[in-house]
Amino acid sequence: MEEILRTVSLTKRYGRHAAVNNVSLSMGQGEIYGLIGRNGAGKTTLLKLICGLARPTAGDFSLFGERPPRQSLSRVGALIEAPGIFPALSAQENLMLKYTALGGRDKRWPQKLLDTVGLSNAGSKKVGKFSMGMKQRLGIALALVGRPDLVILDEPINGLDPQGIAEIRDMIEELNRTYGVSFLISSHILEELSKIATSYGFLHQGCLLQQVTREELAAKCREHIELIAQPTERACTVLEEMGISDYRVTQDGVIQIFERLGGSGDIAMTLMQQQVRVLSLCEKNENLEDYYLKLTGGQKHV
Amino acid sequence: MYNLIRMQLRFLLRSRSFFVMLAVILLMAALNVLLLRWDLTEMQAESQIQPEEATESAETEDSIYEAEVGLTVETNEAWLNHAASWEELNQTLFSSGMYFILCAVFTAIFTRADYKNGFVKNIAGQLPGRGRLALAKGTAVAVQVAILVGLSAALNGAAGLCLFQDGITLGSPSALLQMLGLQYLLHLAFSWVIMLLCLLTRSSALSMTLGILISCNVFSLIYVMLDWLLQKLPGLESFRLEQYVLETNVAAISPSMSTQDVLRTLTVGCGFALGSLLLSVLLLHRRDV
Repeated sequence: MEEILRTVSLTKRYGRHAAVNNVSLSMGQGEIYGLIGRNGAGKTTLLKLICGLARPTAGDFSLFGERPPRQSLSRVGALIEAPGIFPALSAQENLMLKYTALGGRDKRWPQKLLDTVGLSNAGSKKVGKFSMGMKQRLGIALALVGRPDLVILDEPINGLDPQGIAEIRDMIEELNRTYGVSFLISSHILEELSKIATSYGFLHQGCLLQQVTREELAAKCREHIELIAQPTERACTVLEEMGISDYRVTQDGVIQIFERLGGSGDIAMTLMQQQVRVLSLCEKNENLEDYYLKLTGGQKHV
Repeated sequence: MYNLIRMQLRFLLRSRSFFVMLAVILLMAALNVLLLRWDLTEMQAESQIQPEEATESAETEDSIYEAEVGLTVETNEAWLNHAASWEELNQTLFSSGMYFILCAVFTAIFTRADYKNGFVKNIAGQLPGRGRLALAKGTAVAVQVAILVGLSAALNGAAGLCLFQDGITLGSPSALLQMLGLQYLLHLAFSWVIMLLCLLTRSSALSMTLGILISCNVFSLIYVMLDWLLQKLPGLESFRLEQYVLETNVAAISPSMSTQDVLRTLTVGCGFALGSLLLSVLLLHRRDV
């Protein structure tokens, strides 16, 4: 897979505070990369660095193989923070302004974009009268004006209703699947992100804690039976005698069993027959939120 | 670059402030000439009561370099005796500073619009050098000032013809073009200074206020104080800072300007214009959006 974005020790300081601290990540062509982090983690600052709105204090990055990026910046479209729109102009006029700046001549293109984001009938309405969801859709349309190969979206589903969220998700998947457009998306709504992202980056206090693919995350968050038994070593022996080999023991002495997921009753009975005291036995499925909270130390909320 | 300029011009011609500016120019043209007409009528009436006062010389002294604060349109008393030329009428109105205020207000609004609404985020990141934004904005401001100066001159002339009737003549086209060219340069330089202040302070209110204060010659008090200090230095005994600022040169333009005065006006205008534009480009190039 061709690499389209690579950051190398990217850092941005404001005075003594490092908003982005030594971040090294990579993203391949065709990926939908989910950037996850709490408020103030540095997501927006990182996205601003990547799309050329801010200069890094240290480190650098390459876009489409160009380092530092100059011409390749024109292949990026971005929606950073709130949409940047003129309220006194219509949606079509806002799009035409950016399209003109990028050298576009096809006068039908803005209407096609409005159709894509679900604003077909709002072309002539003044943007100041739009709802928040409509403004967000227009912001996404603005990011798509230049037919970019990489689209950076900062919290794109803020203010959207459930139907709108589904429509935007479908749009992203369609553009990714049909035109090969890559997406770098930051979001707080982990459940939605987990439905479309193919890779994840976990940002915390300006640092990139981890970068995983969807498959790697699925492996780490596999559904399992969580067993707390005493003595733990005797419990492991009994499990192996039962033919269970796909399990692991965590540092806390918790046994995670990844097979026979419907057989927790049998496991409990066998352990008790073998004089192993079962303190806790339940089926667990760690989702993206749980994984993220564990990674960033918010385990009490898991 | 060409596309950025097209975008800025497209935005200029669709912004409400531009049409408000056109309406204000139309209103000011009518009001200014009307007030001048009333002024002359009163002077004529006074001169009939006290004929000896009407023969006083209409030549002004070297008063343009004295500190005068505020906006005034001085009616030329010589117009009692001969018809005003189009060039004289326009110079009287331009030298009042009212068009400086229009430049300050509408340039500040136009410059800050991209930033206030966040639209600049859509394009700034896609440029290899963000300084181009300042060049494109400056070009659109230059077009805005050209429309302001050209339209004002045309409407002032038209209003003068309507209200003065045979009291207005075309005069010398070359003098008119010279006057309009110099006024355009000075007003453009002032607009680019306002643009720089807007970009520097990230505030249209502050730059508008400064622009209005400059237009009202409030800074002349500071120039007088600086002159007092600078004239103590050897070689600068006759130095007058006022001769090298925009607002004073706007008022100094006249049909009887010497070549030296014209060159000084050109130098001042070009210096402020290019300096402001260059600093704006550097500022946007270095600063984060």
